[in-house]
Amino acid sequence: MSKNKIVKKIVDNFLLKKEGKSILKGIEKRNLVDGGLIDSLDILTIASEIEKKTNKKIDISKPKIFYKFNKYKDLINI
Amino acid sequence: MKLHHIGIVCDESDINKFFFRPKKKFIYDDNVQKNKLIIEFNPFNNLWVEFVIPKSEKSTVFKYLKKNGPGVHHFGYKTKNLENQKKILDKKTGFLFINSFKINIPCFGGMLKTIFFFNNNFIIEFIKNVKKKKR
Repeated sequence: MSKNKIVKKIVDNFLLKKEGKSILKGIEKRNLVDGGLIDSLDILTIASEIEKKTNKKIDISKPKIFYKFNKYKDLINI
Repeated sequence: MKLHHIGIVCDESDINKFFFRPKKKFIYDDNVQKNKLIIEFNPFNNLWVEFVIPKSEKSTVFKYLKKNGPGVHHFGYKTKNLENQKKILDKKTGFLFINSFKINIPCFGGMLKTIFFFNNNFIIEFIKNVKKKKR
């Protein structure tokens, strides 16, 4: 499985678990952080899971990386 | 590395419900992180217990408490070289840098520099005493 697919799976599973099935409908158009779907603790959990599964370093202290968590499309291509 | 303290997040009213409730307390206000700190030393284990109580919704632990309820929030380790510790963990996957602060906690030896990392759903704090610059 490619890294992007792994990340997508992690994000989808996280959102499904948190918000339920309907959440993925139109998710590309929503702001994840500003819209209240994920908070700072969720960002840590998701980033940690991505690091663990893909072995890729996610430096959330960099604003460029942090802001990717606001958009689903940016996040799954992180 | 020596475990220096255990950080527990709770409301002030929760403190007496803990088994290890503080007897001799040191109380400080952290106006940067918007928390009240109630600290006790446990001489039998040579360990500090730090109760972190959010003072407002802007507190760094407000959401954590709301989401997880009262309980252990972090382990604090004392290190001699904070910068080196950060460099090492920044390179490792599974360790996410959260933030760093400067705080004066007299019972911990005065001015401290702290860094927080998130690892495996757990928060680790590294602390180092810093000397005040002479003017």
